[in-house]
Amino acid sequence: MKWMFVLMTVWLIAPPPVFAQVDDPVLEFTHTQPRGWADSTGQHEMQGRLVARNLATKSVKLERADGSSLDVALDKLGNSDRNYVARQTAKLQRSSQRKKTPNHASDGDASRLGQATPIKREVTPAETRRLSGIDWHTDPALASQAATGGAVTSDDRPIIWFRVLGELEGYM
Amino acid sequence: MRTVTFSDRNVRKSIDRNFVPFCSNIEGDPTAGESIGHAPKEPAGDCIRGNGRQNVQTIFMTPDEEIFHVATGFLSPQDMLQEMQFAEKLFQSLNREDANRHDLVRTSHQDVLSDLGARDIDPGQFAASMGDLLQSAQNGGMVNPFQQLTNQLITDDQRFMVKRPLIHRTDFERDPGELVGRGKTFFSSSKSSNKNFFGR
Repeated sequence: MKWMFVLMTVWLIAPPPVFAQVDDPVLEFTHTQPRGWADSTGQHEMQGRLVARNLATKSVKLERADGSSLDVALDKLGNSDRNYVARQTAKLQRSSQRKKTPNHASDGDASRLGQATPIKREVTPAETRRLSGIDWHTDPALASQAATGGAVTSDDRPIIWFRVLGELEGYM
Repeated sequence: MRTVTFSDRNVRKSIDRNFVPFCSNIEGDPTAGESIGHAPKEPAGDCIRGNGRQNVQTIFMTPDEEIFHVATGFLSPQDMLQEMQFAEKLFQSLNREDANRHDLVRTSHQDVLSDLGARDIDPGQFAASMGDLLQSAQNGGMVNPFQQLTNQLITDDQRFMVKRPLIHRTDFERDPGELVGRGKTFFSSSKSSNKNFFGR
């Protein structure tokens, strides 16, 4: 009886169980643009638009200009294509998060109107080095992330990469 | 470039407004040249475009780290602004819906090559230009034989992009020599490291 009481007490004071939210395993992309795709060997190339990513099968669906589509395993794609898919996925997730958050109603309005919704990401000083009033990223992944705009592609900015012998702040 | 180019107000403004700046130190890279250390506040020496291309490269990439334009060596503020304008325009075109991205990068750089009337530098012709310079200087005139060399460096950059459009950063890093060559010219006079040079 005593152990029953203990169990009941534990059940009552324990926080409610958190069930992992299962996201839709298929993400659909509506804003992507046609681009060149190449496999990791560089032997096969095609033009097409990213239309979906299946998180369960780790593959993407690409759509050609003639409307035909092709499923490709992510690990068959080259580096830049995999990065592109990762970036588009992150964009989509950010976009859906903003829509869920009431504080960002204006962003949601802009998204519905198909307008650019730039995301200003705070960059911590450790990630950048300041020279002549310019904050230089030192991590390519963070530069890539910063170059990605909001939910639509038009927010993207190019990266200017200063590849130099020596440290920026010191002697060179 | 730090004291001259990146200190220029218009360059700074354009980088801040239109680009995401990223820098990396290539110390230890086998294709890097050698350099005499300069303090940031030291007065800048005279450089012409393309000087020290093993040591300094300005590379333009998409957010996916695909390289679509390069400018090696020293760039004056005017050169840098010009390169940035070119890169911005090309980047916008790359984002167009109907863009065949690889072809676009190839043709854009081929166009520049055509404008430059690109042809490989002829050592004999360069020597003749130097002769012209001396002759001209004696007559009080001005000839710039280095313009030919500068054009050669610009052409090399364009040719690299025609050959390797949208090459990924990580693929490029495997062999930067494809762009900058493997010779250690211009900055190769001293074999000592910066620390030894200054006795520190």
